[in-house]
Order: sequence, then C-alpha cells, then structure tokens
Amino acid sequence: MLTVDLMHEIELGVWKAIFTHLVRMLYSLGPTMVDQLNARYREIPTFGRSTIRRFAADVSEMKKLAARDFEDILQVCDNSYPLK
Amino acid sequence: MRIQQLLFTLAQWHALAKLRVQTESTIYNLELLTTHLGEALRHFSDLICPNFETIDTPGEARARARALTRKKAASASTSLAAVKSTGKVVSDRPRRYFNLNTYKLHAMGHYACDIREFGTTDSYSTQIVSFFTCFGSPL
Repeated sequence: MLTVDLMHEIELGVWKAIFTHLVRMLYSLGPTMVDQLNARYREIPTFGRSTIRRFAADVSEMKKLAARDFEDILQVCDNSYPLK
Repeated sequence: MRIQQLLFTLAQWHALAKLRVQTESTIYNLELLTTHLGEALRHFSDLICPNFETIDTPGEARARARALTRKKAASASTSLAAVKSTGKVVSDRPRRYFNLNTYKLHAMGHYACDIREFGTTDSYSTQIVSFFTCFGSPL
C-alpha cells in the first residue's frame, strides 16, 4: 500500500495541472489577461523570510519553479486570478 | 462561474492537509472539504472548461516543437540535414482538455484516513529528501 505524498501529488500534481489549465483559459481570452495575472502576482509583497517569497516576473510561464513556489502561488491564487 | 470558489477550496484543503498538528475536528473538516473540492473540480471540468477554447500555452507549444524535432532527429539518424532546425512553433495546436482521471486526484480522498492511520503528513513527506537531493545534503 502506498502512502500519500502531499508535495508530489498535490503541489506538483493536482495544483500544477489546474494552474496550467487556468493559464490556458486566460490565453484563450487573449494575452492581456495573462499579463493581468502576472501583474497581480508581481504586486504581492513577501511575507516573512520563507512563507511567501517574491514571485517571478511572469508566473504564468512557470519557469524554474520548485514545490515551495507552487505552494506560494496556491496560497495567494484566489486574490490573483482575474476570472471569477 | 465558480473558479474563485475552486481556488479557495483547494488552498483551504492544502492548508488543512499540511497541518503539523491535527485534531479530530481538523481531520473532520478535511473530510468535508474533500467532498466540496470534488464537487468544485467536477463543476470546473464539466461546466466551466468547455466554454474555453484551450490550446497549449506558448511555452508548452515550444516544448512540444522541440520534442518533435528531437524525435525526427532520432528516427532519421542517417540524414540529420533533413530535419528542419527552425525551432518555429507548430501551427496546428490541438485542443487541450482538463483531465480528472488521474491517480493524484484519486489519492486526495485518502489523505484524511491516512492522517488518522499514520499521523500528520509532514511525518512521511518527500519534501525533506527532495530538498537535499536538489541542494546538497548537510549530513
């Protein structure tokens, strides 16, 4: 029997898949929506030294991200995603 | 549209599953949230996603084009010159769908009972080992 694996299954699995699809949805509405998402993420200040780190200039590209970066993206996503 | 609701539920679920101290009530809340999250995900997949013409993001399209070039180069090993090394994004990008039929999604239902059986998720997290693999072991 396998135990669950929160980091690989949720942060790098389910959440990454959902976020990728949400970015695809934004691209289908036009590049300005993606810019809006990136701009909102850039505006988010850091919290503590390791809780929420500074976000990349273009979060939607998802380049060179570790699990903790995906965790940060998840923790502030409901303020940052432009669609209701 | 209930995208915000899905995102909030997922963030809440993640926070509860990652708690380093669990009580019976937090596990009960996790169980309730798992049900809500399942409903939100099915709603997202069945009713929200079909309204969008989703194709590969530019990054994914570039990666796909690179993989195709590599595949062609490997199959036509005799004449590498035949492979176009333009690196241009392939124009016919197929539609991409959101997939609910994955093991990682199925496993979300097991978190509550696994926490009851084996303890909090940080006890058997792969994060610590994974961090040392990436950044070098201090041991």
